[in-house]
Parts: sequence; structure tokens; C-alpha cells
Amino acid sequence: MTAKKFNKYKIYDLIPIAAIVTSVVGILLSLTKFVNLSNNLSTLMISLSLIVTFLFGFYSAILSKKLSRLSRTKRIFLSYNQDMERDAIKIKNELRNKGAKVWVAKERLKPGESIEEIITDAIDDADSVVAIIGNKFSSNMSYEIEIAKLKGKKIIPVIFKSGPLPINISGLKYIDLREKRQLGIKELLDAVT
Amino acid sequence: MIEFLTNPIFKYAILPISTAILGIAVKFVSRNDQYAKFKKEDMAVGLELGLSACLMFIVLTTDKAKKLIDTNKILSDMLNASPIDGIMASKIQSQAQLLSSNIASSGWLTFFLFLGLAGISTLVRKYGWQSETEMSTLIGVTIPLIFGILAIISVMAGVSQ
Repeated sequence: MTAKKFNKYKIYDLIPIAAIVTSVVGILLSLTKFVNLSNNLSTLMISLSLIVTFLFGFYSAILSKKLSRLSRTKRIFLSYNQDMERDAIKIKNELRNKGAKVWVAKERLKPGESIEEIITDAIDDADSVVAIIGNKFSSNMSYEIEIAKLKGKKIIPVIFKSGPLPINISGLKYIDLREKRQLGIKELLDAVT
Repeated sequence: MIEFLTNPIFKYAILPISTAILGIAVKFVSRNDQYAKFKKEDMAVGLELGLSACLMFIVLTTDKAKKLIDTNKILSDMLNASPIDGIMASKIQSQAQLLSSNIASSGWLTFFLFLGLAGISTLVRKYGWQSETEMSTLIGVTIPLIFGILAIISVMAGVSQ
């Protein structure tokens, strides 16, 4: 395992590392010339800045997650089957009019791109996944819902047509748009924004 | 105000850290965030900070060199005058000496700053990425950030001499 790990590195990779070490030592030596190190306040402030920066960088992943939660704009991933595209666009427009940022695969996927990777990233970025349920339930939708479940995202099933609720979301409370459509849309907007 | 700006707390803590925070904020607000939330990659501003520090240091060193030329001219005029004001001439000469000494060491600092920048950008390119879009926390974000802050601190220290 260790030997494999070491094989990954090449001897010439030491050149940038040596450059960084030389540079840092040089900068620190210059600092000792410029800054009176007997001035405790200067030394303390320099050390403090470096420690804060280290913590800032080291916990950047956690910090960025916490900061993104502070954002008031909600991000929604819209999951639907091709036959439901017209209804999905209507929902997308209503959500966007309410200020939400809606991710729709059709707008984002370009030829040659890895669908799995882009969909996974988009679900990871989203606050919730709205699954539009029609007569059919495609394997793509099933994949998107599985990823959303895996990432712990809120999944909101929205029933447009009287089809069976897929087994992987059958336990979730859904919004029914089959009869009281306006009321259902209001309920959806409240749930996601 | 002047006291605050020349205080070590401002020069070595508030200024470098707030520069990094502003850099992160500018990077975040200027990109297309239609489909992406704030990510740790937005915090990778270390290389930008390092480069700004290098360029800033070159400009400030040139400024110091100009100051040295002016000081030498004043000294030369003073030595040509009659009678020579010895005390003033000695003061100006020590000023010129200090400026010369600073400019001499500036060359080294510039070299170390650019060497570090080259080394870190190579390291980030080779080992700083976990995937096509995701950076690694240590080599991609933390190390360049520390280098950037160190570069700004050293430039601030060099300039205030």
C-alpha cells in the first residue's frame, strides 16, 4: 500500500517542493530583517495571521458548507421524465419567478459531457429535489432520486398524473396537482422556497 | 488613523486576512452562481494573493529606488554647497544607506516570492486537484493560502522599512 503510494510520486516532483521550502525559508529570513522580532506584538500578529489562515484553509470544506447554508436563495433540482417536460417547464418558471434557482438537465447538459458526474454535482449543490411524477418513471429519474437520497437531500414528489408512486419515494409526503392545482403549486412553493 | 494603519495589528493581521476574505468574496460574487453554491474552491485565492504581493513589491521597490536617486541628488547638492551642513548631510547619508540596504535585500525577497509562486502553482497543478472540478483541501487550498498571506505580510514588512 505504502509502496504503491510512493510509486505515484516522481523524483522530479521534489523540485517544486524544494522551491517552496527555499522560498518560505527565504521569505522568513527577509521578515526577520524587516521586522523587529523583539517587538512581541509584530511577531504575535504574524503568527496569528498564519494560524488563522491555516485553520481557514484546512476547514475550508466545512466553512464553505456552512456559508452556503446562510444563502437565502434556494436551489432546486428538477427531476422529470421526458413525457412530463411541458409541466416541468411550467413548474420551473413558477419556481424561478419566486426567486429560486432551478437546475434542469436539458438546459445544462452539453454533448460529450459525463451525465452522471454533472447530475451528481447538481444534486449535491441543490437544497431540494422536486420529482415530477407522471404516468411513467424512467431509470434516469430513479438514478437522480437515489443520488438525492444518498446525499441526504429533501425530496418532494409532485404528482401530475395518476401513475403509481415509485417505490423508492413511496414513503414520502407528496404534493398532489391532479385536482387543486393552484393550491398544490402554492404548497410546493412554500415547501421549496 | 495613521497610527492605526501603521500598527502591527493592522499591518500583519487585519490587512492580510481581510485581503484574503475580500478576494474570496469577489471570486464568489463574480462567478455564475445560477447552479452552484459557495464551494471550498472559492477559498483558493492563495495564488492570486501571492501574485499580487509579488507585483506590488516590485512597484514599491522601484518607488524606493526613485527615492534613493532623489536622496543622493539632495546629498550631492548639499556637499557642493558652501558651507556644508555636516549634521544634515550625515542624516541624509544615513537615509540613503538605509534605502540602499533595503533595495539590496528587495532583490532576494522578489526572487523568493517568485520562486514560491512557481513552486506552489506546479504543486497545485500536479497534486491540488481531487477531481476535474474539486480541489484538495491541503495542497489545493491551504498551502497556497498560507503562502499568499506570508507573501503579503513580507511585502508589508518590507514596505514599512
